[in-house]
Amino acid sequence: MKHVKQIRILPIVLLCILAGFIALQFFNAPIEQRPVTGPMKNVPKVVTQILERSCYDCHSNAQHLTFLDKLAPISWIVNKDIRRAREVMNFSEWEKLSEAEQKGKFYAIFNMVRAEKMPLPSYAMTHPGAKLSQNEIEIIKQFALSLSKKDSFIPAHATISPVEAGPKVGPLTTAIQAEVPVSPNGISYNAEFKNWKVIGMSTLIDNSIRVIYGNDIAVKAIQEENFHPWPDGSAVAKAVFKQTKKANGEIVPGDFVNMQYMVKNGKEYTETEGWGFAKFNGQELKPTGKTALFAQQSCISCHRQLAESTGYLFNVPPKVNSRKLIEQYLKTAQNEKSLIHTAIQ
Amino acid sequence: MKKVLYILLFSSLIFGSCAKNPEKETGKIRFMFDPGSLKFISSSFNPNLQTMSALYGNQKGISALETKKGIIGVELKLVTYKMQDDPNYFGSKVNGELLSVETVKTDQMGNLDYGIEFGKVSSDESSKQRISSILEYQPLKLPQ
Repeated sequence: MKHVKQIRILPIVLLCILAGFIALQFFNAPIEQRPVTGPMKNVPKVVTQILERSCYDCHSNAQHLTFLDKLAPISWIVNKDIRRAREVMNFSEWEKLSEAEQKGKFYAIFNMVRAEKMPLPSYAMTHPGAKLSQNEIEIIKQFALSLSKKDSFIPAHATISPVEAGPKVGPLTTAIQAEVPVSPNGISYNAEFKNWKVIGMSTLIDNSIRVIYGNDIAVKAIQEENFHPWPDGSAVAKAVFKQTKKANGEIVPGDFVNMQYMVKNGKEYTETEGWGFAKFNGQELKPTGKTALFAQQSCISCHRQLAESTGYLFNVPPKVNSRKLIEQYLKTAQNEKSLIHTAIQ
Repeated sequence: MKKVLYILLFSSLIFGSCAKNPEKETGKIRFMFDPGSLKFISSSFNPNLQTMSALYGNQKGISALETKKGIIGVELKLVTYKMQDDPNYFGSKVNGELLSVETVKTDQMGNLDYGIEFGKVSSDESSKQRISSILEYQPLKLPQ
């Protein structure tokens, strides 16, 4: 009796699902069509072919969507992915980017495909042809490296320009700001970062040297591995400088390039994983971005995909020190302190 | 029906936790140097030795960088790490394992003294040369 009841219900359920599916199609809007205004130039064909096959369905204005991709509710996910992808990087509007930005994007592309974050695993599952082979990933890597060959210390150290006497400093008047610079999303330049603790140092292939500072809340979060999520109020500033080579071969910070800033406020920055982004450039500290959307369009994509394990923040000190070594150091430092203390007494 | 719900719940838990992609557990720890009352002065990296250093000092230490002379009360600390690939971003290098902490201080006569507080120094320079090298650092030039 029970089975007969189930058999009667089944067609009704199926019919309801079908009716629901048809009804969904009335709420199905196609993705906005845009012209190809500035395609990539001077990129080898072997690279563009890989990108066209694997990335263009989302990161361009020339989609080749399947019938299934256009059906709701799948189309909703596909359209959302395309909108987000175009915001971050659009190969059909590539010429809008400066040469430096194009170079940076290629490093981002390589890092995304190397970490298997792109193409999106959900997309690759339904579009197996978009998957990249190791050989194709290597081709992208080599192309990204070739873009920096001229100005990089990696791999050829010998190509560094001659020694400079020291960092050039802009006239004092340009450094003194009448007003505090403000990013389009409302984040002000925070000069206080100079007094924060240095949490790390880094270099990037684009010929820069960086110092990363964290405020007390961020430092405590790192000590406690409290990244998911980072506590509100955490703030991290990265000061970026040009590289200057000393006579002994060491590289030290030269001219100031920019200050990159991230501040955590889970309620305010909901579109960027709770982090507010800002960047202030040159001695004038000119804010990056034309609209408040700049972080959604450029910053968050890499942070979201590549730094998830540390709460979307790069440059958290890596776990590379043995506990024994650090304990040994702390013991030595403690002894040193007590020696000084005794000497003062 | 209940069974189906349970299966769905458990599979979402399993896949959900896999998608988190937690950082690899290496058995090692993160380290941030605590300079105490000293201020961060500048950084450097050495492509030949594959090291990265941070210089900290007190106000008199900062003055000594300009004058290259000892004044009573100078304290400078050079903290050196291995330079390593950024685990999150190809093309970037970061400070890795702690290698050494060197100090430059003045004695009661105002003479500069060099010491190794911790670890082994990769450079083969003499104490005198190390003092000169450390005094070559210039404070970061940041906009006001």
